[in-house]
Amino acid sequence: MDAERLSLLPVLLILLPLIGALLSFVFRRQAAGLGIATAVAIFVTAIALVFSLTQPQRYPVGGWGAPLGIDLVVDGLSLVMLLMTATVGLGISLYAGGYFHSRPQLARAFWPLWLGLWTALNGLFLAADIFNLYVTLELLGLSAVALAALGGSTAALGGAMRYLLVSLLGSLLYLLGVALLYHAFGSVDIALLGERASAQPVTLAALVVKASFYILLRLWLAIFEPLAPEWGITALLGLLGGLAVLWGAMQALRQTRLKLLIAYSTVAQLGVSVSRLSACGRCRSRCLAGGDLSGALPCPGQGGHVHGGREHPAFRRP
Amino acid sequence: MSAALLYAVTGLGLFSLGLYALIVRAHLLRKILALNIMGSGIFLVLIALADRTPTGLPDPVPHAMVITGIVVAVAATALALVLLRRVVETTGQPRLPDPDDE
Repeated sequence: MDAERLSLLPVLLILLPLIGALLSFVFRRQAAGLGIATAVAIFVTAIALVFSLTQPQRYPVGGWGAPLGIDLVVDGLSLVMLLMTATVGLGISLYAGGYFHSRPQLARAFWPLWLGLWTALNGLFLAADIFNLYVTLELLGLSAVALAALGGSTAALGGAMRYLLVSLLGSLLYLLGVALLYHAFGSVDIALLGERASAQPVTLAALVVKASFYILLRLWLAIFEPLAPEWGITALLGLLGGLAVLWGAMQALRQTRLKLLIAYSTVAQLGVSVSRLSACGRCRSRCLAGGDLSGALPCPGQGGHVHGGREHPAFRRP
Repeated sequence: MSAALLYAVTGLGLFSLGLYALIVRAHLLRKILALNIMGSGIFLVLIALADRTPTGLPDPVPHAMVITGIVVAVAATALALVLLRRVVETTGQPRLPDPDDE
């Protein structure tokens, strides 16, 4: 009984925001109350998951299992991300409750979109295969774009359009990578891919990962890092990370608007995380999973989506 | 040249054409069309890969991916078209507004 209840918690983390989004769409007048209640429920569920989880856990949705069905996986990495999202999301929801109080028209559009975004994020962190990552990535992008366009001004619409085009380009490239990986190794499951990829030498130049750091981290730890790669890939990652740090810091210093400053410093922070990933890969240790990650890692653009939706589209995902 | 290879090469060609148009063309409708053509290219590649199995029997998994991908592409296109209409309504031009004009 206890084991069963435990294994349902990850599913709840996806179902709760989804149900919340649907309810707040149907019952528009109570949207804010429903949204905040959902946020609290998700936060409580995430905390419960932290305390109940003793080892990485796999949940086969519908009981189908890995090769055919869709699995959800909770391990240390996804738990950190889920908890961070829940914490930040709760704060955002509480803040939005007050912020939209005087703008009921916007609030009706905000809550379903915001909870949909949260559903996609939680789904992304729980996905066990790379194709599922693609689908959740698209869901995330679509709801984030709609949030960014919420303001309705020319700048907001232009920013949302730009964001949509860039994120679609990124996810299409990612989908091509999924196709090639599937063909090379005959599976989309991350764990299986990790085993099979380490069994033979590959060139992985084809895999283009969108700037969603989580996916990079996830695929890196599971698939590429065990390859004990030649210097090429890690050095490239380190170089890109370093460039992001320099460029982000330079741009941040040049900004006069606070939101742009935050956005560019986020870019720089992601650069630090990526560089650290590269350094760890080189010494082949998994020192990365440590807690300092959460300090350096802004939950991918999450605050940004909401702020961008609210006031300015320039605050986009790095 | 086998049929699967022909499909895959065609798919990659479509993908490249779409990528080129996405970057070069300024008209937003053309950009949206370009993204759709890129998607179709990837779907062709997936279908071609499904045919190249050791047993010779087509692999159903890439087909399922294509169906899911089409659903996602339809949703994304719909959102993009709505945004395009709003952009045209507010700015009067079917292209990306210049961020410096604010």
